[in-house]
This record gives sequence, structure tokens and C-alpha cells, in this order.
Amino acid sequence: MNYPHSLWRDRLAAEYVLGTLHGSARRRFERLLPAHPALQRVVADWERRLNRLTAASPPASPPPEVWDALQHRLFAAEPRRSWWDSLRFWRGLAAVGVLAAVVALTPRLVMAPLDADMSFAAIRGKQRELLWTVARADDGRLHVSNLRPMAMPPDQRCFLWLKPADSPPMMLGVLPDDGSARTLPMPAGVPEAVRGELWVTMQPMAPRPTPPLEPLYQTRWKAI
Amino acid sequence: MASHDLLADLLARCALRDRRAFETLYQQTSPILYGLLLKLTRDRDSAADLLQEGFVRIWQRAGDYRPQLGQPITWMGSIVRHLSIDRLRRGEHRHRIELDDEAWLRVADAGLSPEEEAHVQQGDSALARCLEALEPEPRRAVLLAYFEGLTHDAIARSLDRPLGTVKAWVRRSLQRLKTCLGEAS
Repeated sequence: MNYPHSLWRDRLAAEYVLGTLHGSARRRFERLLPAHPALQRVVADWERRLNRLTAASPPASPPPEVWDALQHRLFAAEPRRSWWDSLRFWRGLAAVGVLAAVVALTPRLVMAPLDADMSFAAIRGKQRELLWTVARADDGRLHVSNLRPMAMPPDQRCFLWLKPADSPPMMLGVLPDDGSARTLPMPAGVPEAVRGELWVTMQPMAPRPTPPLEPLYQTRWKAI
Repeated sequence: MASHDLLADLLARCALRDRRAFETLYQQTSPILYGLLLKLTRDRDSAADLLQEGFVRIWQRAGDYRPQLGQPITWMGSIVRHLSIDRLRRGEHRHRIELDDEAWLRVADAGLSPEEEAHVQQGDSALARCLEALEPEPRRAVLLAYFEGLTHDAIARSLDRPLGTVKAWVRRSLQRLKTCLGEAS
């Protein structure tokens, strides 16, 4: 079917996005979409308008089984060799040996257990204005909210770091700067129980930004 | 905006079959999508199930995402929303056409609970304003379609109004929202 008139196209796209287009019309519409960029554009416009309602649903942590099931469904089918004939295993074993030696020679990081009341932090700007709040969930994830949208230089982002007293900062994630909230996973390699200050830096966007020597803003965990 | 760039980057890496990127994408977006699905299905099992289906599709279709057509989270939200609507229409999960009293009050009022209102205000006060500008019954019809996944038919039964009236309400409300949001932005 052809949808020549822009008015019709707009109406169908609107009802498709709203969900009221149904039955065979809906299926036909979905089949047309991949090959019709103009239609895609109209649908995207309606999604942009209506899916702002999506923000009205409070985020919720999904059950962990969902991720396990996804892993299984998407990645379990790949063939796996036995671990003993894998070169990587033996290489890994060698690396672990080297690492163990290095760890033995390095002064140990002091990892104190996290206090029960270390669950909330407020990050303030130079005029003591509240910029972000950080709340720590029971599962170790951090919920960060940006309370005022910030005018960021292009290509720069605000990064959140955990700074233990006697070791370099560890990156926790990119902070939202558009007035939105976000959940940061505890990155692999950051011990959950480590104590420290929270640092914020502004740095060029990169997957692994250089750990800073000093923060732009800093704060401590507080009891709520 | 940092988060959009980051998510767009993660989607691009997923298209290249980068599992780590997929994991990060899941961590960053699953609470938002799960929250949306809870709202649509009002059922934890269905929401979890649809979330799984949604991420399978996101992994398979990551290469289809086009930044110029919208934000990554909108694209991902649409995927789970359409999955949810499809399932609803197939009647795979029991869906409450009857709302409880509290829900009715919310729908009749502005359609949003205080906490949702806060979210909308935070995220998009323009949309809240435009919704408020609609007449109560047409607004109710739009919100029933969006949040309850109801068809014209089901909305007509729910509101006890003729089908033609409901269709006209929805069509006109969408146009009014478009105009109102166009003026607002």
C-alpha cells in the first residue's frame, strides 16, 4: 500500500505510536516502515512527542534473572572449547602468577567496610548550589540526579570518581548534565566496600578518562 | 547531552557485537525500560518477560538505530512499547480494562500521580501543559491508549461512548498535542 498524502502519513504514524493503530493496518504499517525513510521520520517525530510520557514511569530495577536469561539466550550458543586446551587459560594462569607477585610487593589498599550511613551524597558547586545528588542502592548501584542542566563545553563530560584516602581515584561513571537522572552500575574492579570521597571532574569524553589529580568538585557521603 | 551520546555509542558498539557494550547498555537503560513496562503491563512477570524480549531485539537491531531520528532511549522505549502492545493484542496476558478507583481518579485528573507529575515536570512540563489543555474526556482517551494500550474499541467500551466519537477524540487530540508542542518548543 502506498501512503502518498503527508496528512494520512502523519495520522497513521501518530496512531501507530499511540498504539491505537491495530490489527492488519498495524502489521502493514510495520512492514512498510523499514523501506520508507520518510515514514520513519514521521514516526520518529511522534515518538519524540509522545514518548516524553515515558518519563512519567518511575525507573525500577528489573529482576536479575532477566540479565541471566539474556546472556543464555544470546550468547550461550557459541561453541566453547574445554578450558584445558585453551591457550588463553594457560596464558591467563601465567598472568595471574605475575599479578600475584606484583600484589605481594605493592602496599595493600586499605579497604574498610562501607558504613551503613554512607548512602547519600550531595555535590555542590562553587556557590554551594546543589548540582547532583548521589544515592547508593542496596545492590551497590548509584542513582545520580543532575538537579540543574549545565552548559557543557562540546566534547566535555562530567565524570564521577571514588577517591580512597591513599590510592588514585576510580571512575564510577559519567554524570548526567542535562537535568536528568541515571543509574550507574558499580564498575567491575571497584571494590564495593571501599571508602572514600566522591570527586567530580570535567574531562573530554573517553571510555577510559585519565584519573584526575584533583577534583573540580568533591564531597563526602552523608547519613540521610 | 552526555547520556544520549553515550547510549548512541553503546548501540553502535552493540551493532559490532560488542558484548561489554551490551552489558553497559543494559545496566544503563533497563531500569527505565522496566519501569515503563511495569506501567504498561502492571505485572512484574510480564514486564520482566517483555524486557528480555526487548533487549534481544535491541541486540539484534542495534545497527538499525539512526541518531538523526531520535534519542537512543526513545528508540529503545518504542521497541519495548510495541512488543508490549503486540502481546496485549494477542491476549497473552490478562490486561485490566477495568481500572481501580484510584487509577480512574488519576486518569480523570491529569492522568498522572504526584510522583509521575514530578517526573513529567522535571522532564517535560510542555507535554504536561499540552495534555492539560485537552478536554477531560479526549485526554482520558489518549492516556488510556498510551498507558493502558487500549484500542479505539476498548476505549469506547471503557468510557461508554460511541466508537466514532472516540476515534475523533483521539485524532483531534493528537493534532492538538502536535500543534501545542510545536508552539512550545
